[in-house]
Order: sequence, then C-alpha cells, then structure tokens
Amino acid sequence: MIEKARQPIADCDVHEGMRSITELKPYLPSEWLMYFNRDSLGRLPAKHPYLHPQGGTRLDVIHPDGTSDDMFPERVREQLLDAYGIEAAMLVGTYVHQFTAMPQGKFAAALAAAYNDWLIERWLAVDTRFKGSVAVAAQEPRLAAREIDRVGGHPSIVQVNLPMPPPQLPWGDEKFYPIWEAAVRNGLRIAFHVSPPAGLLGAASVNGWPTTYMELRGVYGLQFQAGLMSLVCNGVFARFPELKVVLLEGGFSWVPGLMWKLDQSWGALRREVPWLRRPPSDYIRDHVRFGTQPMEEPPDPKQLLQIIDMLGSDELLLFATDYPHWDFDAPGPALPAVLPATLRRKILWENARDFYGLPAE
Amino acid sequence: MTFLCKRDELAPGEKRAFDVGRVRIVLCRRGDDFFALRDVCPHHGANLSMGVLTGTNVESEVGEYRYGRDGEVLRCPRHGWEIDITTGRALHDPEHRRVKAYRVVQRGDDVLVEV
Repeated sequence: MIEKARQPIADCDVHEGMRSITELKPYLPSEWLMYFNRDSLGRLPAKHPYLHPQGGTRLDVIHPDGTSDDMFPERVREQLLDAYGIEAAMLVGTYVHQFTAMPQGKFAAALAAAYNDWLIERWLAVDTRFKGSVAVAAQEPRLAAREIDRVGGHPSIVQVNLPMPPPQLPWGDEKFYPIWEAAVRNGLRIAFHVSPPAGLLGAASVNGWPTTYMELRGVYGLQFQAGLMSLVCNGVFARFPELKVVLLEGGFSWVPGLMWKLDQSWGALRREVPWLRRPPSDYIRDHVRFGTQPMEEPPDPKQLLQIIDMLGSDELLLFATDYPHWDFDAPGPALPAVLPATLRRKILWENARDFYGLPAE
Repeated sequence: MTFLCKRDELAPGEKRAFDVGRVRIVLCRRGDDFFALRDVCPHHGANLSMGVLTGTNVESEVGEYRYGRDGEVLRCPRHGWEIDITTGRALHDPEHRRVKAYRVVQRGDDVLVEV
C-alpha cells in the first residue's frame, strides 16, 4: 500500500516515456525526415552500450504489450503524482541525453526541438505539476541556446537538460558558454543527468570501459566529480553568478571529500585559477544541488546526517525518485527515520522550491 | 628593537632568515622597504625563508591571467601557499590563515625588528 505523504514533495528526476522515437516525426521539419529511413531508425539516437540484467524499467509498470506506465501522462499522474503527493515532477526525458551524443549535431538539434514540442503538447499541457526540461543538442551550443530561447519562456519549463558526461570537451570549456548564457537569460536551471556513454559521450570512464553494468553504475559518481570540478575550476560559476545546476543520479556522499580536496588545492594552486574569488566549496554550495536518488544507504543510517553535516549546508539535497526506472526511490523508504522532520521537509520540498522558485505550498 | 642587518646586506627581492631570541623570522626586501614575518608557514609549519619571494597571478577575469604584486608574495617551499609579506595573510584565505608579521624599522643603515 502506498502511504500518502503529509507534505508536498518535489520529485526532481522523472522520466517521461516515449513509445518510439517515431513519435517525434510529426514535429520535425521535412528536411530531416531523410533520416527516418529503415536503416537509420533503429540506431536513433545513439544507443546505450550497456545491457541491464533485468532491464532499466521497473517490472511493475510494464504491460504485456511492451508499453509501460511512464509512456502515459495520465498514468504517471495517478501512479506517481497523486499517489505520493508530488506537487512538482521535473521531467528529464527519455532519449534526450543521447541527442548530445550524436555526431550529426544539426539533426540532433532538430530532434531536440521536436522533443520539446512533443513534451509541451503531450505532457506539460496535461498537468501543471509536470515541469519540463529543455532538450538540446549541446554539441552545437549556439543551436542549443537558440532552442532555449525558443521554448524557455513556457510557464512549465524550469531547466535545461544536459548529459553527464559531456560531449567531448569538459563542461567547463568556453565552448558551452552560450548554453549558460541562454539558461540565465531565461531564468532556467541546468539539470545534469547521468547519460549512457554513447557516441560523443564516451568513453565510460577514465579507466576505459567497465565490463559490467554494476561498475557503470558506480562510474556515474566519478563522471559527476570530473564534471563538477571542471565547472568550478574553469570559473563557470564565477563567470555566471546566476547559474544554478542540479546533478541527478550521481550520488552525494563523495561531495564533502571533493570540496575538501578542491579547497586544499586552492590554497596551493590559487594562481592557476585566479578568477576564483572564494574557496571552491563556496561555489559548490552556492550554485550546485544534488538529487538524492539513488539514495546513499550507509550501514548505519545516522551516518547520512554526518555526510549532510560535512556538506556544510542542509539545502543541497533535492529528493528524486527516478520513476520509472528499476532503482526507483519511494519517498518513505528512501529517507530513513533518523532524518529530523525539518531536514526531511527540506529534502522533500523546500530545497527544490527554493532552487526552482516554485510557488510556496 | 633588535638589530638584524645593514640595509645593503639584503638586496631588493631578497629574503633571509634570522634568529631573534627564540623566534625565527624571515626578513624580506621589496624596493626600499623591509618586512618581517615569523618564519613558519601557517599551513604545515615549513620555513617560509626556504620558499620564493615573487609575485603571483592576481584576481582576473575568467580565462585570463594577469601577473602582479611582484616581490610582495612569499611562496611556501612545500604546498605553495602564498603569503602577503606586507600583512602575513595567506592570499587564498586572508581572513583565517595568517602568519605573524613584525614591525621593521630602518634607522640610518640599520634594519631593526620589534619582536
């Protein structure tokens, strides 16, 4: 039985489903239909190179005909929003991160635009609790910025959706400035979500290619560490003081250690990053938030409180379910009873409310 | 006041360690001015006098480098902490990390320190 929460919840990682990439065909300009041919369609967009032993979707939402509940807004509304009292569900897509993995970047940008029109029509129009993320082809930053300007003003769109790892160059590279400028210009946040190491987003890790999905799941945190350091050290937050980002599905227990390492390095190596005015950890606390899913599960749940204490702020964690994926976190079981009510409320709602500027409950 | 040396014994841009009673200090010369700090890095305790008296890349726009403060920065020989010789404060965290600075007086050709 699902227990209804007694307080509003923001779910910062929900994957709206799509039955087939061909759903985007009606939204694409004619010039791009050439790639919807028999040979290309099965490889569109760049595919996840890793196989999951059970499949990436919860078995309890899959139907005999092969569809699943996540493909139907009405079912997600009932099964997730109504069931758990979720007031804001940040939709971060299916396929969208792999658009940035495609070497044929201009077509990828057209696919992203089609996706956004599909998202607005098929999902955001259904329920205002669905909040949209702008799909972009980040390997083409100027086209990405144009797309952010095109749809970023929609009242239910709250952020720009980017993959971690980045396309070829680290996210701190100047090449991506147009994306940060457009996000700030439109009052949008940036959501970095783990992405399959496909196409331009490979290789899976700095140690090459792990040979199990289990390793890949652990590598995600390493990708986020590298990406976060790139953003901080290359001065993206110093250059864009209004930029706010959330890191989804990469964990957070590693964050204190990364803060300590960067602050220690800053004492010794400040002259290499003279544009940083404050300790690197300050930029992280001011600009970065972390999704809770998959929740860290230390053997003693009280150790979660120690980690949060080490973060130096109780405002950095945003609750997320990762619906409908196999490692879905339900609000009740995911947050252990040792978390005080005030902290639980921050993680489940207030931190996201403040981060996204959601209306007060 | 304790006599340290004659002016000409330390050229501009040079530094040298002195024992003043039980206190070891490092005397630095920038142009015609002298500055004295306790010769102990506030980080791990290395002798700053074994480091480099230099300038550094000062605060700049993102992606740009600008050298400045030449001769005002004493860089620790171990982890490279940068100490402002005029204040004893660490450049990266001036509010919290500092080494004691002593008053230096020039009297004729003599350089004296108040420890």
